Amino acid sequence: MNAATIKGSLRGIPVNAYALPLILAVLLIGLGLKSPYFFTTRNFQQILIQGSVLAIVAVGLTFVIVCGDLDLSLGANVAISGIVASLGMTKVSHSVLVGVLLGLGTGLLMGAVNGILTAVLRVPAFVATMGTSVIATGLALRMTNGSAIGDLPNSFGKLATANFLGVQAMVWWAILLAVIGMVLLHRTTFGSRVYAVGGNRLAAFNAGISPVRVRFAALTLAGLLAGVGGVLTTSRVLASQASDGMTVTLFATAAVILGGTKLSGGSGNMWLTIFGVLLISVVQNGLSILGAPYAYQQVAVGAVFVIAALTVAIRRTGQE
Amino acid sequence: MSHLKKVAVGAVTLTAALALTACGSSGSASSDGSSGSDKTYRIGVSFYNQALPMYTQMLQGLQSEAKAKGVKLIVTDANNSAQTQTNQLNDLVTQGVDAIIAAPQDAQALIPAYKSVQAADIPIFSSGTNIADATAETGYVGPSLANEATDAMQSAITAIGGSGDVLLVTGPPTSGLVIQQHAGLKAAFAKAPGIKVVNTIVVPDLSKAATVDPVTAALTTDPDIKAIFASNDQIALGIVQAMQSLNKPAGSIYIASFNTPPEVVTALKANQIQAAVSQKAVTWGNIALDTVYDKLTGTKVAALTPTKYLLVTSKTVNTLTDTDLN
Repeated sequence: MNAATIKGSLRGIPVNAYALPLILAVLLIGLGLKSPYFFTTRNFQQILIQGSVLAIVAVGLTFVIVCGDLDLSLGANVAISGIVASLGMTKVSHSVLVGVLLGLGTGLLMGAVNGILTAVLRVPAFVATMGTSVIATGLALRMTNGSAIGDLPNSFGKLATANFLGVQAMVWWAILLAVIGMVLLHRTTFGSRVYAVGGNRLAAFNAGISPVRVRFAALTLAGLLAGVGGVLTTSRVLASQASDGMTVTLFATAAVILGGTKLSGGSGNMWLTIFGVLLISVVQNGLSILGAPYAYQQVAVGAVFVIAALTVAIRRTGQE
Repeated sequence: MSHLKKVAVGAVTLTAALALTACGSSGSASSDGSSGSDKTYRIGVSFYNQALPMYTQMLQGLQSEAKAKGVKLIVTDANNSAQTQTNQLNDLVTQGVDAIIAAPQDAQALIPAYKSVQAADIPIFSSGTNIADATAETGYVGPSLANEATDAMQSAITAIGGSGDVLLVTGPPTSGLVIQQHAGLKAAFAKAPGIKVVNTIVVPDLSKAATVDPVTAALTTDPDIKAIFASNDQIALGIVQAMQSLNKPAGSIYIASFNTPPEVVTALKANQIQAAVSQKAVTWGNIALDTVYDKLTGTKVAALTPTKYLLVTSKTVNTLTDTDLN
């Protein structure tokens, strides 16, 4: 098969559909050659564990961005949901279930508030979710007084760290929620409506779809999944603090964009979002394994962002 | 640009960025020793915030001793995040380090990560701060923070005549640093019934920037504050700035703090800060490395290895040299 044949066979397939897996493969090989510790079972388990919460949050964010909105409050949502879950099972009751439900409820509530502000009251999503992010961070600091809430029941830790088939539970949660997200986005009426609203709100409205309801649902779903992320983050370390999730918004947005979802809405692919998450997790893990200092890790974070933006720009140029 | 070229550009750019980062790391984060025993030990160092001057100086001590002993250091910085530090400790285990020296971000949140290090049969020593579950750490090597806090506060109590309003400005209450400092402060206050703690301000990231505004507000609300305890040097410098913004003259409030980086030494000489505990961080780093090395080479080490400290005041600072402080 010559280059022209390859080019011909790839024409029509979104660039990210093969670019991301290819970049990931190049990275994996490069890191494997660079470090003898990279291609180990333990390290791959770590990559999956470290990317789990990011994957769960990115699944929710994909719905929001395909819908044509943004959610900058997801990191703060992760933090406050974990804190409320911790307080729920230590101060409010001594029940793990109550704590988990309160944590999930907080995520859901925050998503619903974003939905009301954005979809119903028509506040731009960028402004509304930035505002709720600041409010949630302030509340989280108030609730924790800047410290961590610990002394959580060991049984709560099992939610994230219990082993099944050699893989920690939080990875299975991420896989389960990613599969549900894929089915919901690509195989249901709701998913079709999300694409329709993101593609052209007026046309969707004329077709009998309520953009307000769909956008509200997408933001609420993202909030709920951030709540799941917060509960699992807390479960993993048996403690929660206001600084939890501080990089989640940034990385989840990068993962979704890397996956080819347009910021303007109307297109996107859940499967590729997961590849975006894996790419970011491998970069982070690789830098850590290679012993890169924090300053250089910041450089790499910037590089990932530039590449995400570059991907968008290249696609736009191609379409023009 | 064709799809293939776009993919190639993306792959090459990302790989190049990572390669550049990795190249940069080889000189900065790791340091290979030049002499020592047959086996080159690899020791992981996990800081919760390497930007704090105390840890910058401690790292100098670790690196100089590592070079002398032929030990390779792998240094990580969690940027004040327990989650990041948990990931980094797990990554150090993956890299198969021989031992770890860690300054945990939180006394509770790092317990599971410590336990996973223990499960991998890797000794882990806390340093500077420790965790709430002593069974999860091999030992502690560092300053006796409680005794230091007692001495610092005692100097303030003596200076203000044994009574008056006191403000505490600390890091997160559940950090090992602050837990021990509070224990020391409690001991000092027990001997001074005339002291009234009017407020405790928490500065989550122990930074100067986050200190100025709440302290300015506290000093405005309570103009009778006679002494302030600061958890670290950056907080102390933030307090100085807050006093300056309120035009309060240097020395009108007694400030007792921790650590003596150059800015604090300058402030001590100008009587802007009245007392600071020198952790002798470079020496501390030397001792920490020695302790872990002893453990690896089969020499018995104590569960607690205290390092020396020195209470520096605005009256004694001019008589001390850099060697005394380091």
